[in-house]
Amino acid sequence: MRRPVLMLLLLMVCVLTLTGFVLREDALRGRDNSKSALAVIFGDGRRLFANHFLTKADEYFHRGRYPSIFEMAETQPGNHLVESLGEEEGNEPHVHGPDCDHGAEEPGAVHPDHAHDGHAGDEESGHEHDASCAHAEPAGKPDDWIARLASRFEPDRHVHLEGGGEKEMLPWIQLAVEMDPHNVDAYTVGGYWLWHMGKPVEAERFLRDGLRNNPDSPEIYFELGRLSERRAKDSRLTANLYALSLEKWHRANDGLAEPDTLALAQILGRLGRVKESRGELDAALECYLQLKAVSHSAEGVQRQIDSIREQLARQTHTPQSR
Amino acid sequence: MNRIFAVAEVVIRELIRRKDFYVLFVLTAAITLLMGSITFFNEDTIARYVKEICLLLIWLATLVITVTTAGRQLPAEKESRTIFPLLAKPISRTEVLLGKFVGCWLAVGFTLIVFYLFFGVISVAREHELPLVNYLQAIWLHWLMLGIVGALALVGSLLLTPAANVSIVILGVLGIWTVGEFLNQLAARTGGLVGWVTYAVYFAIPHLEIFDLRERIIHGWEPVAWGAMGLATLYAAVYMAMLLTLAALLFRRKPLN
Repeated sequence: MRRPVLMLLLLMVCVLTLTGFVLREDALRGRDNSKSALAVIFGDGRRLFANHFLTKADEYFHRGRYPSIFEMAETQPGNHLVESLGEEEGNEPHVHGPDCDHGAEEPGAVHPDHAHDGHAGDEESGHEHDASCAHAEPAGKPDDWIARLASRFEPDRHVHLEGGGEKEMLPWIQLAVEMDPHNVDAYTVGGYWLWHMGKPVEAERFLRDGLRNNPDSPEIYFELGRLSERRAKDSRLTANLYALSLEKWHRANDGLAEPDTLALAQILGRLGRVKESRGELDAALECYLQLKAVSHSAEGVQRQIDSIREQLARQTHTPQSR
Repeated sequence: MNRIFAVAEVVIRELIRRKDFYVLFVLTAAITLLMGSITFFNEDTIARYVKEICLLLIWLATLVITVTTAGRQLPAEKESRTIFPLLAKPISRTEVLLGKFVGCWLAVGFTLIVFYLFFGVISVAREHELPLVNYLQAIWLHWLMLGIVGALALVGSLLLTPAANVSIVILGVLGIWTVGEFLNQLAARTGGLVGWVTYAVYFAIPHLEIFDLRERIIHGWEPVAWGAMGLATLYAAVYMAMLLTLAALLFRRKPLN
């Protein structure tokens, strides 16, 4: 009995010594200890953990009601929190054009055109789910008595955290980025929800952390731009952030066989809108023209282009008439 | 009945003497308090992740306590040869077995109460509310589940060596927890002979996930319908009866020397 215990103790001492040695080496080289320690312990496996923790945040958002992999296969795969971020701009089936008026952009606001096309509205919590909603309930109902019995003990309705309860997701989002600082989704999701919970300073700090770890991420620049736009502090800063997002998007997507045009449409739409609000109509027109090429609602974009051209024509006409 | 409870009393005293429970409780409390001390984004009222970690540790700790306690009862009696003076008394082998089971189950029930008291304190401290009905339902179902696991470990102790029994039962229970509920869907997608075998396994195994109310407790859902609680109790009773009958049959024919 003593020998296995001694062997176990010896093994523990070896592991601790090795870990201590690695951490000391990192410290001497000036690396970030916590992150490299996690990398040493988990290796690439930490990315799996990070994705799991992000899924966990999504599960918390749905108050523990979360589809299994089988149910996901029947409905809509992917992390709903991440999807809902994109859908804020209406990824599918509607890509927002500059004419797409989202009203005051308040949390919970639902765009009327978006209702129940996959996910809808500014965020998930803004819509009620019914059978037509892709992720509302699993398609396959329990078909045997055991499954029927088990289902009576599980959370049985599709509901969302609200009224400040969203804070319960935060530990998992934080853990996700601790595990994998290159998990861009975790940063954008975290940034969005921190803002949503009335913590814009923390949201910006979190996104800036993400930017330090992922300096070439168009998504984080875009989310920073969104945050800046929502806070309505400095439209110039907002425009710069969207412009940087666009630049990073081109760097990441140019030359790809299947570039992420949905993200491009989002960036161009927001950038055009900010430029327009700042009175930079030429720059706005340029954005809208680019947007028209990738947007699913080209007619709406064209209307906005026409409107901008009219404004430009008025501007050029007015000094001549004087 | 008195003879069964006399044996059970010895088992309970044994658990009180042993250090397993104390070590696991202190470990659970320490990890929970450590995790609870972390603040995320200056929000010190976040509670659910602490509840989740605490409940997970409680489930793991009670699983280990149940399997090791039930799994070592008969082999320990046999190894120390105390089984002979015990059976020399006017008590049948079935009564010894039932006494061992009842003792383990009651002892585990006691540990469960202590663990859930701690969980309740943590929960109240964080959320300032105590959904008593939910907690009582969770404890009851958890206890029923541990009854099935204890009976399973008793059966295993009559077929396997103690170490193999503990390992196989713990792995089996973890397997049922994680994939048991999906076996029917897997069978439907697989089809053929493999599908039929998977279906057979699905209907044969005790579905321990039924007794898991953690998600409801963590996320503050309303209590389970009492009808469903009754059905779950019946389900657990049937499995415990079947496993104990099997254990009694095995024990009756088992040579002790």
